[in-house]
Amino acid sequence: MGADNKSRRDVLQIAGGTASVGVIAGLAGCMGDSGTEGAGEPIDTIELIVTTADYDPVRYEFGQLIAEHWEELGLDVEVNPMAWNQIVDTAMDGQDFDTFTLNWAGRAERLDPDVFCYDLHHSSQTDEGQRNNVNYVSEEYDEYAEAQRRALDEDERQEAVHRCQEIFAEDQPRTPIANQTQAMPYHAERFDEVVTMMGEGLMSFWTAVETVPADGVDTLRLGYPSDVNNLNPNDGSATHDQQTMRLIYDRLARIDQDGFPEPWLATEIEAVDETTYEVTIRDDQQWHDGEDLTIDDVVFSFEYLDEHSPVLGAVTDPIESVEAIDDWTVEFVLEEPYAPFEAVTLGQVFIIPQHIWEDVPDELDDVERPADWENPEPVGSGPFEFVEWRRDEEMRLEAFDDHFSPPEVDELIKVPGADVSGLVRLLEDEEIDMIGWVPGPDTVNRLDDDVDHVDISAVDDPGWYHINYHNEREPFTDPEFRRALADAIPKQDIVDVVLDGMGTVTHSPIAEVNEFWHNPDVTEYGDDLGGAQQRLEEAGYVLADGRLHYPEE
Amino acid sequence: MEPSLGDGGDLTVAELDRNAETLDATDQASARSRLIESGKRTGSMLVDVFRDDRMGQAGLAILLVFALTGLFAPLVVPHEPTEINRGDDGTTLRLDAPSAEHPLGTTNMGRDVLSQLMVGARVSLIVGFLAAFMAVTIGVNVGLISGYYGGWVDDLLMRITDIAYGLPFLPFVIVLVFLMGPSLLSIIIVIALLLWRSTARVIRSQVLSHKQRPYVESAQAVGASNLRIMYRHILPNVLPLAFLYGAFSVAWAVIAEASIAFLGFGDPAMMSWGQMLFEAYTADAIRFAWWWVVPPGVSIMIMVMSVFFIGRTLERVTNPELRHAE
Amino acid sequence: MGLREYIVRRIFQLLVTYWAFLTIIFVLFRVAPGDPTSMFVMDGLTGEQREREIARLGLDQPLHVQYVEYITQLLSGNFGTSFRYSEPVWDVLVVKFWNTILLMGTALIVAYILGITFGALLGWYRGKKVEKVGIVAGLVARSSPEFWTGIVLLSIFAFWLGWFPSGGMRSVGAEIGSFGERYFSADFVYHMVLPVLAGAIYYMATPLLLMRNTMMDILKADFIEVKKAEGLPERRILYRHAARNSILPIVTVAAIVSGTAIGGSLIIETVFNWPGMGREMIESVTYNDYPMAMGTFFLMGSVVIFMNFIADLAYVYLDPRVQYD
Repeated sequence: MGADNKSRRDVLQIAGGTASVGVIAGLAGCMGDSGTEGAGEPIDTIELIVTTADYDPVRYEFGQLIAEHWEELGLDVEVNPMAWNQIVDTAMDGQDFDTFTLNWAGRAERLDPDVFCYDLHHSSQTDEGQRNNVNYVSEEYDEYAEAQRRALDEDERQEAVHRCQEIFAEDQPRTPIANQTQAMPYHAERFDEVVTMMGEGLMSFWTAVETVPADGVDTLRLGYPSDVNNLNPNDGSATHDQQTMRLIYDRLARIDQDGFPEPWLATEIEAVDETTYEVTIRDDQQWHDGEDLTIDDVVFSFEYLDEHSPVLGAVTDPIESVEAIDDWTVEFVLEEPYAPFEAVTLGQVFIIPQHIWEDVPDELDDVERPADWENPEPVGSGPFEFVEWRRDEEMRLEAFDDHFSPPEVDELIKVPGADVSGLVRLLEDEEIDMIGWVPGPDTVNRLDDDVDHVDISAVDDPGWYHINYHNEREPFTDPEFRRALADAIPKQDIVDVVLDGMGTVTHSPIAEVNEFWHNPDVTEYGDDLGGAQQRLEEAGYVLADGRLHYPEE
Repeated sequence: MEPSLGDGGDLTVAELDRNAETLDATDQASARSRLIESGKRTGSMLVDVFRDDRMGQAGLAILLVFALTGLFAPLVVPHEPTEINRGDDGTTLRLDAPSAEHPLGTTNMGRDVLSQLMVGARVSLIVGFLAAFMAVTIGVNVGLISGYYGGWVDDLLMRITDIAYGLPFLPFVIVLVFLMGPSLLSIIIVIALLLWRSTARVIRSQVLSHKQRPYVESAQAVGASNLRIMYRHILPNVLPLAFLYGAFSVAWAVIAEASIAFLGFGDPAMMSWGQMLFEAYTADAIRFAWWWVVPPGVSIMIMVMSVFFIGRTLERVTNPELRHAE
Repeated sequence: MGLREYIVRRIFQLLVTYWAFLTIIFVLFRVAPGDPTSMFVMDGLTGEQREREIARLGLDQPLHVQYVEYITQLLSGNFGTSFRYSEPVWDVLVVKFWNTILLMGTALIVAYILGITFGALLGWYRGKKVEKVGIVAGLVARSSPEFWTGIVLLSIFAFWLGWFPSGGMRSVGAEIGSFGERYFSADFVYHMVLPVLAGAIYYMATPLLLMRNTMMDILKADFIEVKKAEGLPERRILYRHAARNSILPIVTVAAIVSGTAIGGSLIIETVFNWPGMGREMIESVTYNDYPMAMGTFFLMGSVVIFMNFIADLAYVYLDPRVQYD
């Protein structure tokens, strides 16, 4: 057994993801290995949490690359792959991490800059479970983050959002790395031209509603690597659930393909003053069960979801009161000016039928609160009507012909797969029409080149791959140190090697594709190992015996 | 017999009874000399059966090749298994078909498949042998104590064994690995935690039959302690069977590790064969990159098979009747 | 001790095992690192909301209170509500349970039919080359993990020859009305062929080798010669005796194997995208959906324990030599 034990250690070294590469010492020499004189303590081993290779090979792989480069600065980096929910618990929620990699998905609701500016980086959002999990605190930044929330004038808001990005880029509380191209395959003979949207690809609302099928085709079969969790509008915490429910339930506003809110169930959204909105809704819309949709349903939806939905309750927070002022108009009064109101609040709150939900949960056995009800046959007013759902087999939705914007297809079948490869097989066998997920670059290339009936729909994704530093933990408290880390990251290599070129390097959390809000003039860090070394040296960090030390006290 | 993965051994309960009978017939030696003698006997019997069993020899030879590969992998791998290889023009060698530089091609990240395969041998061997060793150690002790003492001790231990049998193997292993974190060590421990049960049952039934025999009675008569009787008198007699179950346990452990890794619960830092297949599977490579899929799959198969071959041969030590059957 | 007493005692032991099993589940899932709200956190649960959530799920109670509650709930058939699906665990599982049982059950039946037939043949051709080849083939089958067999089958029959679908339980868009259509339609059977084969190949080796050994024993026995002298055809004698002698080990082992094949469903269902309990198990574990994972684990364990019990009973029933101790 002795031999076995020994070989186990060796395996750890050879096969290990820890990538403790010895190449580094030599390279690091160019920084001047000056001995420990004038140096503080050596910097402790840095933990870099990545996802497991199967959950997201991209994050796993670029974690390894980053570690290798950081080690060239004289740091000792330990790459630690974790299961996704463990990452959520430990790092995102528990805030117990040195550094971790993340991909902020570019959903339609996140095109509004508020999430980035406020939720992710405002100093009031640093509690455990909140989104500023890197504990970034900057008074100057906060000022602009608050300003963009109040600014109802778009240009004024744009200015504030641009300032946020500049300060963020300078401080590097997180380092944005790349935006991935959303390349999703589809059956080009059945759907010759697909409608898509940045950040959502073929999962977008517009794909399901507006894509025109080829002659003789009336069903759209859409594959996704997992099934919907549930169809309860009170829950909808998972992206996929939300993407499905918004086909069944209408909302007052929709995010258009450029990322801006536009009236949907509403015909008009008017800002009467800074804190008052009047919203007029369509007067001829019915629920899927034939009942009329009234203004009372709208008022009910906002009040009900505000009270019962853990998820939507958060976006209704800014609302002080909601009231019907005539048969088709509702008035929202906000507590304070809130610029993202249309996109974030009106764009997300589902309009649900009062005649069904007013009895939930009181009239139901075994249901304590609305979010726990399985809502077996959802009744909405959206472009698709629920027909049948056999979990992990398929879900069938039928076009609701009485809708004000009926879909081009008659039927939408959602097909869950155990994994993406299963879906790719189904697409190749012409069993499904689209995959709402980005398969690996090799699969995308192969499908594009070798499979005749499959084309690729490629759109830019405003979602960003990035790396997070715990801003209140040594050595990441020093912005100069973070800038050096950022400089050492081989962003271009990550795009070329890990994404196989299907992506672009980014320096701001608001992607270039999100044109209006994106600031192209922020300071850029990355792909500059020499610069990183110089930066550290100038800041007083000392490389001694191949190990980076803090500056002398 | 490890039914959890589809009933391991070729032995059935009925056969066990028969084995016990045949052993009875050969038990004539005195208590004192039993230990040395049976040790010698087991040894020479092992040599004997392997000498004229081609399957067994093949099994040993294959295992030796894997062991050597695993042992020297770090020295002889053509490439670093995690290294991203690039072509002359600097682009990553993604899914490169086999070539002189990469005899088994590359993965979707441009890693050398052959190198991963060689390093993977170590993981399978380590998991297989360590888990089997732990399982058999637990199993033999439980079986010995349970069979020898009988009464409430037996009842208690056998209930525990029953409970272990009641746990569905793979689901249990996955839940535990998930809870303990996916490290190689926890995978080994978890596998061993269930794998001992079959050994325990079989050894117990053997011990029961040995307990009735004259040599045990005479040892008791001269005042030998229970521990001494159990470990110095009975144990050597049930050792061949323990070896046999050890062999089967190695096979199940290897398959179990591969299955865990394939389902994505493996140690992400360990390049095992199951892990390789899992990566190939998730990268959707099973449809075209045969060079990435076939080698680890066939390797698992061959390694397990070699252990089965050895097991079959060992079985003739425990069941002499079989020695003349073919 | 008589047979009845023996059975009563076995039932008592079964209950003890079962209770221990339930306790193990409880311990496993309540010491799990990770917490049920983690799936919701990123989407805007504040610390306060989280606490409310935890309280609502009863996860803030002392462990012994949770334990009592858990046992009572289980005994009253309440598996709780899935964190992930907002649907009673039982409602989700009942469909998936049958999907799994049907798949693995068919696989086992096929495995036993093939195994017994080929095993008998191998015994018949003892010492011949066919036998060696057969044994090696059997060992190859059993040395291949199910996922590997599955991948090989997929490559040959789905990708290369295109004879069978590459996964799923029925064609996309297939209408199903009745129970019959659900499980006995041609479409369903067509989708079931490859996964069943993957399981059957793996589980076939056991009956195959068992049958062969029994067969060889019989062939050695003297009475064959006697019967032959009486003028009965050898083949008929053989099958009659082989059947009688092999039924004991085959039946007992079959019961045990069928209990444990439930676990193998995790792999086969993943490879073939089969919506059964096995896949649900894996997903619920990764999603921290405790009630679901517990429910699945509980069902699987129950099947295993029940099948072991059947094996015990079958053994004493079939083997007159056994003393009820």
